[in-house]
Amino acid sequence: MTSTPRIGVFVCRCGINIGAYVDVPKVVEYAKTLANVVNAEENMYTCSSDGLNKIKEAIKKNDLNRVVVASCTPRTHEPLFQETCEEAGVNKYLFEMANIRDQCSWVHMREPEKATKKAKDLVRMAVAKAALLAPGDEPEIDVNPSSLVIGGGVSGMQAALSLADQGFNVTLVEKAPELGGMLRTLDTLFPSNIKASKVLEPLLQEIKANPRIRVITNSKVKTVNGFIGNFDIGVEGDGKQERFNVGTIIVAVGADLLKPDGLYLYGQDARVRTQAQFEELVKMSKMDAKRIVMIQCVGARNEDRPYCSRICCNEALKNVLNAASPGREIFILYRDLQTYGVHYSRLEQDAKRKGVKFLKYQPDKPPQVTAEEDGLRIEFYSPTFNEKVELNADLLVLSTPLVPVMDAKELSQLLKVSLNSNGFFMEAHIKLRPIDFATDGIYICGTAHSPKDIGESVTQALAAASRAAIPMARRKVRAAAIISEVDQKKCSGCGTCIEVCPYNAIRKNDKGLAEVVAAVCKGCGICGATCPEKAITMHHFTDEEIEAQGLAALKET
Amino acid sequence: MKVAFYPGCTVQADQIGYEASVRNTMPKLGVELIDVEGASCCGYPPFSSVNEAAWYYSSARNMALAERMGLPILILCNGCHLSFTETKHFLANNPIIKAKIDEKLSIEGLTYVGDVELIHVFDLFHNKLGEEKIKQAVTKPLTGFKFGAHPGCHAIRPNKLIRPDDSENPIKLDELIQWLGAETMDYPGKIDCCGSSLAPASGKTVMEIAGDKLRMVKALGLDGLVTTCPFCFKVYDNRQRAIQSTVGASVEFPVFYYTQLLGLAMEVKPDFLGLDLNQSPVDSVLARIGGS
Amino acid sequence: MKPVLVVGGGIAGIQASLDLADRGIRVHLVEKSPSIGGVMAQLDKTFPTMDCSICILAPKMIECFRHPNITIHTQSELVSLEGTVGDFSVKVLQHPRSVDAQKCTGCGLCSERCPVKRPSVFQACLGQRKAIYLAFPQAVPLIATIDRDACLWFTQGICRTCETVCSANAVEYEQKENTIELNVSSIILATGFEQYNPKDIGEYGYGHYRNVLTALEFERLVCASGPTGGVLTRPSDGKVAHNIAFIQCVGSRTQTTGYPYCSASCCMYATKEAVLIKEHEPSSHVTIHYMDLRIFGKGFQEFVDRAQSNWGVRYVRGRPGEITEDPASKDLTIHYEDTEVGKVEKNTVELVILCTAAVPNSDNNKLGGILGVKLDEYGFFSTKDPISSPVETSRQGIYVCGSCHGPRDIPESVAEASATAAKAAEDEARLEVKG
Repeated sequence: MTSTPRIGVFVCRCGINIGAYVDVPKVVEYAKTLANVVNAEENMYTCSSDGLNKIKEAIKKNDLNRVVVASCTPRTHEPLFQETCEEAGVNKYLFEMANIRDQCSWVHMREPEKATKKAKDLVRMAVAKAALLAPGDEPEIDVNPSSLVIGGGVSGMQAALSLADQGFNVTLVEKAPELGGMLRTLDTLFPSNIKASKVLEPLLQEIKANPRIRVITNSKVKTVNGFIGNFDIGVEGDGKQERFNVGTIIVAVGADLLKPDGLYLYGQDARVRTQAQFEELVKMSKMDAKRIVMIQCVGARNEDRPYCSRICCNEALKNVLNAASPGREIFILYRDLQTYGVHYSRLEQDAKRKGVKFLKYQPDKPPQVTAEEDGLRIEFYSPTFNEKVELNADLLVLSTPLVPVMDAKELSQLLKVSLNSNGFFMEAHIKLRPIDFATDGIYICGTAHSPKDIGESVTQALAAASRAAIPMARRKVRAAAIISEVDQKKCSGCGTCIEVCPYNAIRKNDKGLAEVVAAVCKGCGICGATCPEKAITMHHFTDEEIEAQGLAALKET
Repeated sequence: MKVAFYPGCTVQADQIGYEASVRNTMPKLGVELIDVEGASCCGYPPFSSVNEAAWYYSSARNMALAERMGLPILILCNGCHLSFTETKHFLANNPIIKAKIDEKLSIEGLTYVGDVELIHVFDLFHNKLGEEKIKQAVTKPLTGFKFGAHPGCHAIRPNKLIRPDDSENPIKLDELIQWLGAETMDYPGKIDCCGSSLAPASGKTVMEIAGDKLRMVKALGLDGLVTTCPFCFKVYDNRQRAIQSTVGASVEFPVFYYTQLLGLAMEVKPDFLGLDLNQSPVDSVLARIGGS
Repeated sequence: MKPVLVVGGGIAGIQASLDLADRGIRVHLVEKSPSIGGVMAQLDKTFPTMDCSICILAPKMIECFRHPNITIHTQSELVSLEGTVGDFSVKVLQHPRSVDAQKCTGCGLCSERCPVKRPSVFQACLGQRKAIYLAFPQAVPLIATIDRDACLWFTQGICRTCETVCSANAVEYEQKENTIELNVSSIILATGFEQYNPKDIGEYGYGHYRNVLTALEFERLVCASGPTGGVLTRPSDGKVAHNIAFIQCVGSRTQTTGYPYCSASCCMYATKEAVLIKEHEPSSHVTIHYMDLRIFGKGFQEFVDRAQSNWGVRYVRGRPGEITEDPASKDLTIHYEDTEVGKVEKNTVELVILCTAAVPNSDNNKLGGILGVKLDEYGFFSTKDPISSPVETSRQGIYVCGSCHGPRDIPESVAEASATAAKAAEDEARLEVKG
């Protein structure tokens, strides 16, 4: 069904990014000499509306049925060019990109001649593959317009409520006996110092009253199968088991507070507490210490946990503002005060006005704490005074970071999503897709993503509801065509591919042979490389296509 | 125009060269100087550090004298000008202290209203006389010379109060020098303090700070440092030997009062401008000007 | 379902529009300048991934343009509002481009031939554009615009070269302004922020010393599509700068000239820019003069660690008191105290970058008045409650996202944009139920 390939090659200058180092006209001329190429031209910025229009015009004018764009990275621009092809009637899988920027002009800036030669090589390879490309099919998958929200803290609750208000059914699963998460343990919330209960109670009532939200407490998610639109969920708890189907999943499992065991005499002396414990004491009016010292970044911004936990400085300020009184001395030993933005800057000023003293300490000369009868002795080197400072305290409060929940790893494996190096859930793109996972249909919000305050968690929860609503509102998603396929005639049923698939995308069918679930397959190629019978074809990266590229690479220009 | 003339203590005590240069140029510019009878110290800095009310009283007293004369006051010293300005501002907002001061003033039969116009040397030339008048009065332009202006802290700070020039980018004195036909340079450290107020606390620091500036302008190849403040002049001109021994480097450098340069450009004889009293090496400049 | 109005076409406005459009809700995206993209289009790279900014933004801009559910109104502003959530009647005034949007191909020939030059706002006024111009190469929509205050035809009745050379006959001098009326269910504000002008901070010499620049000016300098093609030449003599210093909190965290709040992203973007300098020339010296290092976001601390250990960027704690300029070389000396060792030092460099405060958009007051929403004491839009209603304004049905309600970075703005889309979708759902 594929007629003779008629390939159009579009070489991009990308302003000076490519144009200043690669002789673009020469590459265009060269492209014209390649087999199956019927048209070759250059563009200043192929991704601009102008450039895209030129592609569409060229397709029509030259009756192209394959398109090669030699420009930047497919990571950012492939979908754009693919859609452009579709608009001009060329199936998006008949499109191939040659990266002559990141992989050529950018790394060979000082060798323009060699860069030009390499650009020609890359174009030749892309053209060789393009000639063998076959059109791809993206079957539509139905999406169940219901959601699973894992975690019933403020993030989970807000996400559930928003989805319900948008018209979707939600099952909210919480491992504790009650909803609420950390809101249950906090007394007041910064920056406005309102009572946590005032935020929690209305949420609980709204959840209870909402007919679209079903809450399952004392339970955990045990199995997850399927793919976007059709997740098969198994929940266990309270001696019961349950299975149900949802279209999307939101992870809102929160984070835990690090217990600073062994640090600064915590656990050895009752006068050393965490911020959370301090808050509890103040709440119960049991806090009568006259000299309080707080140490920030305890167990954070170090080799074990190289990250900053964002909220501890402001948490400490909230607590000191509640505890500040005449006759009470409060010192905060900090490294860098994270009072960012408008609200927290105000918090910092308020604390200073109340007479709280801020002293910087250096991480390589941390405070030394000794316990005496009449108090705790805290000694540290103060860079501000250039000398050792000794403070006496009745109470030492340690600010510790949020850490990933214990079962984060287990959950990530269940969902086939990634964790970052600190163990927090990892989003698809830290800048532009902070709420999506790379795995379609699953979203992340709240402190499970990274430490943040309640307002920021609520924002992310609403964002997750918006993201999840997209496939659910459309009721359909399209599966990718870059997937693997098992030739049933060649498959021996050894099951190796099933074992190695990181996405659980291959199943044994009723004949005992391997079969790929198109909607889950991400086209990574591991199965194709593993199959001992060579029974697996990687669509869009077939053996023939790759061989053709390899041979093209070895040709002399 | 007639002005009440208030040279201030420092000028009358030992910066008589400044006074000479003013008295011998003003008449030619049409300014009649009427001495303030019974004038006393403005109170800054001796009283201001010890007894604020005494300070405000001293300044208010002198302003009251000028008010009685019905004339605006021409103030030669940056410090006196700030003192009067601060006093005006303070008394306008502190009726209780003002009442006390009024009581004291009434003993002499004086009243302080607080509306006398304070004229700083910059204001005199820029606002009262104007560029045209000065340029017309210049008969021997100081062409070929490049000077560094030292406006002095009290003429430009604090920026909460209105000062004769801008705190960060003062240009008024530069312009005055340019009207004489000379060039100026916006050298680094132009707005640095001369250090004189630090003298009671740390004389060594004064020497170091002043030494920094003198070495800077010297290294840049300028022809001289120009100021309108007697305190600044005292440090930069009168103390060059002491500075030299403290910083261990040569700081010999010509320092002038602006009115001295003005007088030279108007071809007033150097003796009438107090130039024989300058302790810094001004002869080289004078020789180039060819003053008789 | 009624459409939603999104005011502001930066990354936040774009994200909100796409979220809504992708799930079938129509969007009117109103942008006052000739192109969507906002500040993110002006940046070179973004922290902490060092992605090329326009590369990750442009596909989203094009998606907005091609999306059947999004109508982009550029050169437009909101002029009136009536009604309540579910039923807002708004008037949008479109200022004339003097170019027919249907005919213009964005080829840029008119701009090449135009004889009049003006400072380019896109290039942070370091470079120029013509009286008829395309906002930037990847502008969306890619349609020329005539600046009537600069154009010779409009000011003096002569020239008309653009009309002569345009092969698409797209120049339309008689184009008039146009008011459209829309009825929308809710409104999302995404009008972004402005940069503080540090000329009032006299001690840093901005505006006097030629080699003192703001961070946005630096982004254009270092960007390949900038006025120098990405070569770090300094304004006074065109010499390539290899010794550069950043000063943080310029106009932020101050009780005197500027604003008392922290602008949240400057520590990170200074680090990014420092790494960019090092990438361009590894032998460069880069110093960042900071007060508190704000590294609270995901991946931030690690990014700064890498900047120090891999690239050798130097961080010095202490807010500089003054910058002086050498009259001959125009090099700058920063006078500061290194508060970690308690010593007063000087740092002489070739170029100084001031990381200026993110301040409210100067249109906020006017817009706030039209919309009937509250502003805070600085002029940012107020949110109903920072904890439980972080994206709602004081008026029901009007939401905020991005830096128009306080300084924040891109991931936060993007998350907020999606959050406002959720709120708008909730409103739509309620409308449906009402019938």
